[in-house]
Amino acid sequence: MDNPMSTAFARDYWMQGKIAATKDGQITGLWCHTTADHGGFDACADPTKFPAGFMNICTGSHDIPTAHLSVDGVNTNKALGGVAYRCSFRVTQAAYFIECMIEVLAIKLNMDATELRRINFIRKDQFPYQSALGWKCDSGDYHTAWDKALAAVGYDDLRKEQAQRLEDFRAGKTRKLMGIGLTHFTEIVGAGPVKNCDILGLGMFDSCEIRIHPTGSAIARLGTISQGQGHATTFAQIIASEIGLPADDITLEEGDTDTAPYGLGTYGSRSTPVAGAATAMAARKIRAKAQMIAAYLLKVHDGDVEWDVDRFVVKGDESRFKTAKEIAFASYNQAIPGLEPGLEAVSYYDPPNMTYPFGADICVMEIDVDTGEHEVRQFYALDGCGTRINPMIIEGQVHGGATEGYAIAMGQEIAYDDMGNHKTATLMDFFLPTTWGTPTYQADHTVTPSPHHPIGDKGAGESPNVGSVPCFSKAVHDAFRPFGLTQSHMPDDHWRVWKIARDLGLHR
Amino acid sequence: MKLRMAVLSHLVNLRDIPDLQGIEIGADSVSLGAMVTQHELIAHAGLGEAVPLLREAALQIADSQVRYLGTLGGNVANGDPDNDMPGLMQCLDATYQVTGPDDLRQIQARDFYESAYFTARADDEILTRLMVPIPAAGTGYAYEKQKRKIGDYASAAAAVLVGKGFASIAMTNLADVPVWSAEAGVALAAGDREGAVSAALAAIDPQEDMRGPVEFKRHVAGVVPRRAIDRALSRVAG
Amino acid sequence: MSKMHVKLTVNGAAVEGLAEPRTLLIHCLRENLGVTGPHVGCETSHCGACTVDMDGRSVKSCTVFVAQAQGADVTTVEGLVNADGSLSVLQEMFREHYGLQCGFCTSGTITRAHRFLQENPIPTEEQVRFGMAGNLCRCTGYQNIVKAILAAAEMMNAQDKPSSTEGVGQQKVETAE
Ligand SMILES: Cc1cc2nc3c(=O)[nH]c(=O)nc-3n(C[C@H](O)[C@H](O)[C@H](O)COP(=O)(O)OP(=O)(O)OC[C@H]3O[C@@H](n4cnc5c(N)ncnc54)[C@H](O)[C@@H]3O)c2cc1C
Repeated sequence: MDNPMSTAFARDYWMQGKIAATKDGQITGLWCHTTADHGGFDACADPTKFPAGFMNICTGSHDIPTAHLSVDGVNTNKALGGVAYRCSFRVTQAAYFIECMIEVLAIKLNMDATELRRINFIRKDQFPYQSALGWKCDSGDYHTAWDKALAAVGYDDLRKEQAQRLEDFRAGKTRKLMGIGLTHFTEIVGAGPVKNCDILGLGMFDSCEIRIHPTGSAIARLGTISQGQGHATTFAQIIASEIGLPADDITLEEGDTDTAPYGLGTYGSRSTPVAGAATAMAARKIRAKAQMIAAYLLKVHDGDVEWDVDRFVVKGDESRFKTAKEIAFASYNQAIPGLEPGLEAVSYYDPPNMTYPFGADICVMEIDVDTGEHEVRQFYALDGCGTRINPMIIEGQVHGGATEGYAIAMGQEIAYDDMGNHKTATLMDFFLPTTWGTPTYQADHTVTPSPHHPIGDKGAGESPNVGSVPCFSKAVHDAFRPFGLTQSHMPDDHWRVWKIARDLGLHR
Repeated sequence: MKLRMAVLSHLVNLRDIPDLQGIEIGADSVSLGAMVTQHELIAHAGLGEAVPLLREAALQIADSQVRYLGTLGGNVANGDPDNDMPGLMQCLDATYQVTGPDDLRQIQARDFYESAYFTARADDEILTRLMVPIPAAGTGYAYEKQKRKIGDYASAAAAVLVGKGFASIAMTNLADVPVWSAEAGVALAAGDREGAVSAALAAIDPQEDMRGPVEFKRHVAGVVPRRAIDRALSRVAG
Repeated sequence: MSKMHVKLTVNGAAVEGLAEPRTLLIHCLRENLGVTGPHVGCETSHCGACTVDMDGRSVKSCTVFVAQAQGADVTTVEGLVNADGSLSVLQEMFREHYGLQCGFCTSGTITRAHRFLQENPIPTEEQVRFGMAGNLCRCTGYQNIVKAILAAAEMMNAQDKPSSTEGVGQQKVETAE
């Protein structure tokens, strides 16, 4: 009970926005002012040069020529605040902001929000895209993702069903409304390039050290640490595909500062974008040496062998090859002129840019107007994390991240009374969803590899949280849209949803 | 004691007293030991037939693990207004048997609750058994509970029994004691659903908490019993 | 309060010692007996990380005074492995289907799932979700936990056909949800 009262909290943001567009829906400008409660003292680990984190990704997936963002941080008498909770330094807030702005714009223009997005999405051929607030978005194919998502859920039919429901509601045949939440988010993760990302002077590179044993097994040590994201699987797979040793024979060791290379750790979806890149680079150094060893053993020039899954083959003669395992043994046990014995490498990877995962989420929600209760009927989550290393792990991140989003949007709150007493100190009052009521997710994907990452990965841990929070909220907004609701304040727990209905005069 | 807010000199495990155990189904009533768990209420096949309302309500309490340990006695005896069983027992018109140093007495569930954590049980008495009348065959029943999630107490809950010329309604967590209204039962027995709900609402006094402000609770306190009544009516047979 | 002599069986081994009666079973297991499979999450019986099996019932061991466990037969996640120490079918399915991420809730979740599958060997997804609602998980969104349990049920049923499928969870979940 002491823990929820005293642990650092994430976000208590008051965001105000203005958006400008032409009559036919072309967005011309965006303005955002945020008041950010950081509690008793700041508990964030933002890169030093970004005191407001990466809130400036708030132009989202859209080509917006001009934008202005200001953030006032305030201290209050709460516990310490400002933690980046499953988003890379305020990206969830930024996504929430732009997604709500798009929604409001669609209402004002009396346009379908799906079409409004299509008009404004950054086009595939515009990448790399320089955003108005300073980021160089590396890659994306938003239109494809968007169309895939809408088709997957049968969007047009859902809207028809919703229209029928509304008619039934107005005719007094039902007390349940149906809401469809839609988001298309763009994240910024993989911090980051040392030239602009440091934490109190420590550059935000990351690292990997790989040692191949004579037996062909290997150990890799990284500057990150798995908290359940399956690093042992993902990084072993990267090594396995780069140097052709079975993933099962590769041991991962993280978190022991006696042995680990320097690194900045796991947060901000940076492990695979940064340490994963280091892993691939270290593995490539090993493969380069392995090539020389193979050529020597096969008595040909280095350039006469080529890599094939798990071996170097003499070009044009598949019967002459050396497997990675044979090379590992030889590297230690055969004197090779001009080469040191052994097979190991380290890479400190300084990423040239951030990565920009994106995705589309669609939520279908039933809302009981009289009690404020809801049921999430469907949740579709398309993830665009670039190259997909291990689909099961990515989908696990989607399920978990979206469930955290569900909690945040639909009930989670740290509340205080007028005397400053903490009111949500137990897991009964602080909403953590259970198996019952948590949606079953439909995870989907598109693949647009990052052009600057050695294997094209963009990071997957936080995307589902970033996209789902606005998506759940917007399903609520959408249900009440025909009655004039534009926005509401999170979380949409029973009584707040009930209050929306009451304020709109929907109670008898 | 668990939360380290109390230090006691003795701890008596009531589970070792055989008289406090057991579910006995008689001709027109069931006798439930105070140590019968919510799990047992759910699992007992005969009880599910005799008083299906008990099972339906028990399934809406907490989660499987808590129901394996949570007892009927622990739920009704200490007068916690959040608990579901006190209102349920009032709806069912149960009789509590309490035992003190000298004698044994019967208290109607409808007379048992005085205010939050204050009951008609004396300090030197324990609750030993609960007698629940078996509703006439074909009686409709329903337990409706609005809660934020499994593991939460009610924002509003209602227990309803309705049969030929008879009805009973009780509500939970809407005042510092369970709310049972004789007039509500009379109105519903006469087929007046709205009259029943307004009579039941007359007695509530909900407090604001994280589930919502008073006006919200007053509103759902009207919705939940209506739903319970409709469901109970749909189950009336014969 | 003076200490009492407690005797219980933990994962098949008889254990005894002195403990204050109000000591919670979870603390006794972890601190006195070194059985650290069950975890302390919330201590208010919401999270389920401390779930153990006690005399054939799933209980949250933070709701049990050690005095109440006198003479009980307690099984923790450590006790669920096969006789040869290999992972049980259920444990194996959690691994196979990525039914865990950080692992904090896992021991309680698997211990509860173990009992749940005894109560209801052929569950539907809805029954799994209802029967597992006392175990909070912050990582998986439950989807792969549910999948793992359903897969385990299928494999266990293929291994030995149950004689009776009667049980609490077998009856339709009749909540007003
Ligand atoms: C996470 C969680 C969720 C819950 N959700 C719900 C819910 O939704 N609805 C609901 O109704 N309940 C709920 N409960 C309460 C639960 O169902 C139990 O009823 C409650 O915890 C009491 O437990 P117990 O039976 O072990 O009683 P104890 O904790 O042993 O006793 C409770 C009190 O009653 C006294 N007492 C016990 N038996 C007797 C007796 N025979 N005579 C006199 N006094 C006695 C004890 O001295 C103590 O003061 C929840 C509990 C938890 C932990």
